[in-house]
Amino acid sequence: MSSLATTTTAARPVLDRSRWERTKRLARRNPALVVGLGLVSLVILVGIFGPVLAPESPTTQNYAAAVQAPSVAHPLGTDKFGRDQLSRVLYGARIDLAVGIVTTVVPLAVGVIIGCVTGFYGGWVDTLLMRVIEIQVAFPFYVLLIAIITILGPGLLNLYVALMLVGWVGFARLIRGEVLVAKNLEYTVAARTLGCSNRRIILRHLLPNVIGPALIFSMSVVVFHILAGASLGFLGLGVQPPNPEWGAMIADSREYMTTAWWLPTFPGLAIAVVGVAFSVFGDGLSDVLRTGAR
Amino acid sequence: MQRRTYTIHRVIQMIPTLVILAILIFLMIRAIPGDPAVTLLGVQATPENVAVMRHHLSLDQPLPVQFGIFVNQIVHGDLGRSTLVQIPVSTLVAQRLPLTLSLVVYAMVLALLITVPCAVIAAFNKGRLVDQLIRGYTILGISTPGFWVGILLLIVLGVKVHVFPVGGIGTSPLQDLRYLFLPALTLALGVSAILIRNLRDAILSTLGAEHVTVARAKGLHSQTVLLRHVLRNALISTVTLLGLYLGWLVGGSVIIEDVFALPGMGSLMISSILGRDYAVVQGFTLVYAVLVLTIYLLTDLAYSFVDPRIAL
Repeated sequence: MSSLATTTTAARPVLDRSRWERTKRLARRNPALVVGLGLVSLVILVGIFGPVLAPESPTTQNYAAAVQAPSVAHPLGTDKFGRDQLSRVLYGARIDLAVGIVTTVVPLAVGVIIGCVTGFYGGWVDTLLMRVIEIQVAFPFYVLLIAIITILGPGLLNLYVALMLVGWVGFARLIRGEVLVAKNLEYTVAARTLGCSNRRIILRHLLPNVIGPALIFSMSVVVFHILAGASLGFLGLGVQPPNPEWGAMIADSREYMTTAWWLPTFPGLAIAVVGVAFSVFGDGLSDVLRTGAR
Repeated sequence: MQRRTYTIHRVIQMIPTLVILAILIFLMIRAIPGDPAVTLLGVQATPENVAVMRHHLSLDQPLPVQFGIFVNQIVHGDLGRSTLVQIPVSTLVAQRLPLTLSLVVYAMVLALLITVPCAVIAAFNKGRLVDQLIRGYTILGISTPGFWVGILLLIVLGVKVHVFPVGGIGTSPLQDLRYLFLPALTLALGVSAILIRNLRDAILSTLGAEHVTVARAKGLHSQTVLLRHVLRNALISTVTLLGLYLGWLVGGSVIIEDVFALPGMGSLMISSILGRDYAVVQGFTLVYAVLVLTIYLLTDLAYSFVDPRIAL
């Protein structure tokens, strides 16, 4: 017993070292993954600690300092109400990131469950899913979002609902396709032959093998939903004033865009940075998972 | 004959989708909390007007009868009446659809003009600086909101340099090309970012194909190999993607029309939502959906001509 414990303790540093070596090798081979992960971590940290980093309240108005160019006092300038643009951009990170991440994670979970069940069992549930996909494809993405917002009414909560209602279908379609292929592969047939239950086959054998493409796809969906949230904010159908949402901030700046370049530029840059971070991370993740699959 | 059968089969496939689509759009106004008649007329409407509207919308009839009447009206081209401007929605569609379609087609042409050279250059310089730069452009294109790119283009090329007009439309088709350039370019930049990635990968995989090796071994000029053997095959998957993104462009045009103050369907749809003119929103949603379904149908049929195996 004691000799076993000694062996385990001695083996641990070797194991840790080899894991560290593997991580270093992975990072060397996939710079996109490292850069992407670094950028995503950074923007998430800004999202979490934005209110701490912000020099002022995002809603405090100061008409004496309205539409001021970037300066030491206001590094990103001020808007038409004299609100500090840096504070609004930092607070906005939390809103836009939350929209992108939450409206991806929930549809990912729902889509994976529905995709697995419909792909594995087929039958009327599968037919129903295919019909839902056909209908959703018939609506242009933004027209569908706008139609849902028309029914629910503009606002942050309804934006979440609309994006989640639209988002799960893509994941379900992707997972269904993967399951249709994987359920006929040798490892699934072997699991079935060994007497595994359907539930065990789905959870232990199919899911780990089909989740990769959905995770890669989820990075694109985060970007797409952040852009969609900002676009609806820009149109006045998403987050409502005075909340500091990046798209709504750009919309607010329209009347000043010829004279105050900083007003549309910085919130737009913030969206672009977050979008690039998740896109690069998605590219890196795709490289790693594909290499892993090979 | 087989292609004809395929076409008929494909059109028949659309019918259940159209029926469900009609049901959803029929339920759209009814799903908004409150009385649909009050929703359409506004809260200041008198009880008499509400009663007239209820009768006009057949809201005093059972739901299936209401749906039958709704479908009958659509088939006869009656999409309802705008409560704000007091003209039939079908008239508004006729006035605004040509501009939206022109914008979408213009954007697609520009997207192709950007995509093909960029993808060829990137593929033939794989791993070099120019390839990395184009890859950077595609990542930026996917990650940047179109409305913001549109505003930047407006500020730089419209306001500062005065090369293009900042909004509206021209008085002749030639002027329209100039007026619609910036909005079409804005849409094209986003779509081309996706198409370049796809075409670059397709070119790279085609370059390794046996028929290209044979063409090179025959001593064909590199340009001939590129145009006749590589690009022609690589473009097939991009054309399919192009059809899908044509539908996406229709949706994207809603926002871009608003940015550039273009009198298309999208800008009116947005102002109608904010002005609670739900008849317009409902009618336009239907037109957008039918438009996209038609685009997908035409893409599928065109694809069956490009690749006859599809129709088999």
